[in-house]
Amino acid sequence: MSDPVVQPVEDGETLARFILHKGHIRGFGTQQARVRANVFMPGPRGELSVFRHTGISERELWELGKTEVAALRGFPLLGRGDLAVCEARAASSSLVIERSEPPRNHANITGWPTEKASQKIIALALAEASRFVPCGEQPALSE
Amino acid sequence: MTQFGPDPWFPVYRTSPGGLFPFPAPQWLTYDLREVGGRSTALWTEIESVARECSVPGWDGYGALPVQPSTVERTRSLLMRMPTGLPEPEIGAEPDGAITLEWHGRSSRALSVSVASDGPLHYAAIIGSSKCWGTEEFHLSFPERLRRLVAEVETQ
Repeated sequence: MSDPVVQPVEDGETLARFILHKGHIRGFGTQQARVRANVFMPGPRGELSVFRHTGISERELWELGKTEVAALRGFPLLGRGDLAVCEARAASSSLVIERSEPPRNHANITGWPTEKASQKIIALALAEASRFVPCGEQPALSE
Repeated sequence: MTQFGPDPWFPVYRTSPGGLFPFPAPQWLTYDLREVGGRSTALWTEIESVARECSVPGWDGYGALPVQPSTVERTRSLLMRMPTGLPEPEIGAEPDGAITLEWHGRSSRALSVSVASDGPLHYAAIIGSSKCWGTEEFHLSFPERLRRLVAEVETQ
């Protein structure tokens, strides 16, 4: 069996970061709900786990959030933060976004600076550029 | 004086100011630490809520480290030293188990400060088109740099 091929993610794609924790959402339950910066902080292994929208339906995307993220903790899925790949790359040229399957459509954002304050400023920029989508809701078409 | 029930995260500290009394202090000298610093009960409740939700490994579904009681205590200690007149932050948690204090103003103004169980405070701020980030030591007083940033973020 050959090693998995690491493929880049295209600039035109959109990424989803699934959210289980109310503290990760500002104004939870309101029309003005926004994603907090700590949603986009890398984990202990220096990676930020996301899912690509590309090639799957909204329903399939939510299903990935439920089975691959929420089920691991046994908490309900609250929503997701949607982020354009080009916005992520604009936030920091050091970030690397690569497919990392399985699970289906999974990707990792790596290349984070080692200093925590530097990670925080990138996470703040990602949060500013992202859009919160409550669980089960269709995002408004922007294109 | 407001009373709160038994709580592993927020015990009601009844002590004598300065610890001058070797025995339980007389009632007239006791106080509840949650009322010190002029902070609202809602703020302490929010910290308590975040601490509870994030006290187990993997609380975010992605392998986050748990928030430790010592981190909660240090956060409370910092907030009790925050100058009066500054708005209270919103509370969150980070994948490394740090507690986040966030202030949001209008027009892309935001400040995020990370409080861990020890070490410096890490912060980042976006104020319109400018960004700044760095670290500040916290010992006995609220860092002046952070006080200025909070005021700047909240300024119209």
